[in-house]
Amino acid sequence: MASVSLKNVYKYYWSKKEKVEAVKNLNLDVRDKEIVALLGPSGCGKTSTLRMIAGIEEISNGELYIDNNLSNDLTPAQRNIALAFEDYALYFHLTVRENMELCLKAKKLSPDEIRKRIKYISEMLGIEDILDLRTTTLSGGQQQRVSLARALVRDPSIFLLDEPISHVEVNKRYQILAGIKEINYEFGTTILYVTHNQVEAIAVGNRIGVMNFAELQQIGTRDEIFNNPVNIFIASFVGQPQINLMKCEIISDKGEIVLKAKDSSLNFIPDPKVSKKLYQLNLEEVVLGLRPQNIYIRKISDKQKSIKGIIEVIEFLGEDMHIVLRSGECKFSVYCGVHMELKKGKELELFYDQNKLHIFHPETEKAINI
Amino acid sequence: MPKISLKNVTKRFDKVVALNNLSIDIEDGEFFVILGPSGAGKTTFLKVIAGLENPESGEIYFNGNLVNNIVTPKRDVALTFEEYSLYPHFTVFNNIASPLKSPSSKVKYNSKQLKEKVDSVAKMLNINQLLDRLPSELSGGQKQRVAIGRALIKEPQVLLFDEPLAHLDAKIRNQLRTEFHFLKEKFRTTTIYTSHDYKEAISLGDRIMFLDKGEIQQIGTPEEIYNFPKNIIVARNVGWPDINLFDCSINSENNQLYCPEGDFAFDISGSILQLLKNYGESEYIIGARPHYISFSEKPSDVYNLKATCGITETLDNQLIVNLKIKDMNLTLSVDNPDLSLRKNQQLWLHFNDQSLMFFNKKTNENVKIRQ
Repeated sequence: MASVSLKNVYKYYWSKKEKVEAVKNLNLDVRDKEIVALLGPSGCGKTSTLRMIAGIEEISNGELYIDNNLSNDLTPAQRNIALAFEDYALYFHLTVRENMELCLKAKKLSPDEIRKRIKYISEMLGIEDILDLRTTTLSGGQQQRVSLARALVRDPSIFLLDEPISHVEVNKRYQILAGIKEINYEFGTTILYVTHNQVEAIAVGNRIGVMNFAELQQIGTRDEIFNNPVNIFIASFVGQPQINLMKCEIISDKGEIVLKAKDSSLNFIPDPKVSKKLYQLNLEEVVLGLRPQNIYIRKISDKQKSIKGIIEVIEFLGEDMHIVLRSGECKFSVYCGVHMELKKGKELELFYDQNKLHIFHPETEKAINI
Repeated sequence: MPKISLKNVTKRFDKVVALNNLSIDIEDGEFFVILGPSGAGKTTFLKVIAGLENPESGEIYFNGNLVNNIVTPKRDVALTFEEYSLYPHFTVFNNIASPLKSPSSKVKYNSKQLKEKVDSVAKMLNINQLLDRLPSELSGGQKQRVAIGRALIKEPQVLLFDEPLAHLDAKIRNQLRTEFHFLKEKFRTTTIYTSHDYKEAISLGDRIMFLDKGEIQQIGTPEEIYNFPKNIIVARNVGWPDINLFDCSINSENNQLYCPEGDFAFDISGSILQLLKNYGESEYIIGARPHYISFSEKPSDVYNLKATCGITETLDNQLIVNLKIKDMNLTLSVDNPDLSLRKNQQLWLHFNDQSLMFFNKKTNENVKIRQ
């Protein structure tokens, strides 16, 4: 049983007598048995947040609750937390096994129990073959896996993982993420996972919190973050290939609102409810977002609207295709299944659902919701 | 006449064979990608063509002329390195201009011509606003653009790119990969490009050579490499998530394949059975791409293979499902990332036998190579 709750938390640093806010008014709940991924670009405050929860960084203002107990003043050791960092901080004179054993021996676990746990975790992370090697002989990716293994082999109530697989070879990453999810499933350990990689965050988190400029911008499930981004930053930070963003003029066509992408002949027709809202706001232009995954080559429902573009680039990617199209000066991309019949230079009609159009205010960059 | 020909080229570093008896023709204007894991010999291949390494044996021809004894500056090639290798004390402008200022430059330019040339290359690479900066003030993606600009400005006969996107973040990497398509069109120079990322390779390459431990495993178009990998090594390294591989044996009485690891059997069509029988082995290794296996939450005539759902992972556009048939692990991927499956839930699978690959158990060769 472990939950973490941050209430109005601030972190200040002093740099040349100037106050720098690393974390601003953060409210975050990590529920019992949940994996929350904290995602953001470098310098957004995600690592400071994690370090405050671990107790290695003081909380400048606000309250930290672990299991509903105010924990601001507890020492790191009293918090029953296991940590893994991006930098490995391994004991270089010890073998992989000895690195993993240290904490368990300190806790006076039986040799049998220690062996069992090391076997389980080392197989999960694919390091069972290197257990008796010195850590100095390992590659960066392997060292990072050992660092993660040393955290996971413990049995804390909370794991705090800071970019734990950023140096691991790409093809091994998802296997490790599956392992982390399995530990969470089997033992119900609460996990806070910090990363700048949106694919990792989405793969591992039950919920994803996105930070930027020291503030939590949005927290929600993949579906919420992906399909209802609250601002342009979230829309463009999450999702690959990147969302298509187009500046559009609002024009009225026979009483119907049309969003016309600048310098192109792309016309988007928003949902009637959105149109009504746009009337009320009386804006001249908006920023329109449409994900490459939400544009289709075949019409799959009668309600779908269409746009046209000239094919500029076709990228065959094996499982999928990425296509860049142009209309006037406006380029946009589409991510779809494999269609070998498509040809460069040809005009293509494409289809979208009105409810997948994301509309943002041109100045505040916030989503315009109904 | 091919632009570049290698005939029986071998290169060793002490006892390690970096290139083992390679012969290949690269056509004029071709965008040729060398794909392979680290240590495959990709960089050595480029260096041999550039003249930075001498082959131990074998010949290299440019336009039909033997160039083994021609030094690098005279080969008229441009090579970019994986780690950018920019001059740290030069601005972006001077870095890009450096090949034209070098004593080995074909033509001498005055400062106005130089500026025009740099501007046009910088514009193409979207770095025209960075010309006064030093490399230390650039991001990784920008540094790589400068390095590419420095190669392009020479307008060489052959462009050699060594893993240009390997050190970049996923997002910038995807963006630059797409941009390469535009650059490719504009330049139409014979290009050899190395990568360990199969998506990069099949997206960009007119042809791809899969290299492993200094040996050519396959040369083919993107579609051939992906859909008809010549052997297990290629199949394993192309496609994500990794291809599922498991043993099977033919039971010709009931047109079924039996898989001992998961203790199950499934029907296959007559044409495939015939193909396997003609090939002559009784046991094969099946290769099943994760997104060619379909499943249902309810059993039916089609979905008749019982499996147990394990951990699932949502990636951008797909859901990766790890599952088990008895003790055998399988990975599936579906295009619906919001589908919710519970761990230990029963799922019913169907193998589309037309999309399965079959490998010879002894030689690891694909049985179904397209003729």
